[in-house]
Amino acid sequence: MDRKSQQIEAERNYDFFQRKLSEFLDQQEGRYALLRQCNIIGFFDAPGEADAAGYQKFPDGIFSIQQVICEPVHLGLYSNAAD
Amino acid sequence: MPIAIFPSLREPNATQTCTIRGLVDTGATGTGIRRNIIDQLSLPIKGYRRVGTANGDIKATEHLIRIGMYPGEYNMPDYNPPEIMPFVIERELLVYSLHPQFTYAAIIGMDVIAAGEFCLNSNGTVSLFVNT
Repeated sequence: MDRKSQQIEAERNYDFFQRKLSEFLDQQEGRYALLRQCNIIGFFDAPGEADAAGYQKFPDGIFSIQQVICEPVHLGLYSNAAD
Repeated sequence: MPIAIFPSLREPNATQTCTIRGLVDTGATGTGIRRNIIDQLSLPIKGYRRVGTANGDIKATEHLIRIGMYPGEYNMPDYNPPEIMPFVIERELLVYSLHPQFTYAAIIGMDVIAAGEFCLNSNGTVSLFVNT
C-alpha cells in the first residue's frame, strides 16, 4: 500500500463525509461507512467488516472508514492528550 | 493496566504486537493510542475523527487495531510486563491517535469498557471483565 496515497485518500474522503453526513445520519447512525474516491461504497456494523470489504474490493488498500456519528470523541480528564 | 496492541488481521504484520500500559478512563468515549505505538506497528491511516480537547475540537487520525488483555491483578506503579499470552478481543477497533508526549500509551475508553463488566470496588480496586 502506498501510505501517502492512502493518507490523501482518507483526508479527501473525510471532507466529503463531513459534508454529506446529515444525509444518512438518521438511517445509519453508529455504523461504519467504507469510502473510496469520495464515494460511499457501503455501510457496515463493525469497522473490521468495513475494512475486510475494502480490501476485497480494492486490493491496493486505498480506501477509508468513517463512523456515522456527529459527536466528537471526548477524552474526559485527559482532554489535552489528542494528537 | 497492561494491554497488547495488534494491527488488524489484514495487515502484513498482523502478528506483530506491542505490550503497553493503558489507562482505563470511564470519561473517555473512545479508545486512543499514542503516536509512537502507531508508528512502531506501522498502522495505516483508516480515517479521521473529531476529538474534543480543552482547546476545542481537533482532527485526529484513526487506525484499526486489535486489543489483547492480560488477566491478573495489577497494582501500579509496581507494574511488571506480563509473561503470559493475552486474550485478544475478536472485534477490531477504530482508535484515534494520542499526543506522543502523553503519559500513558493508551486510553481505554467506553467503547471497550462497555463491551464487558466494569466494577469500582469499595476497597478502592477496580475490576474489568471483558468478553473475548
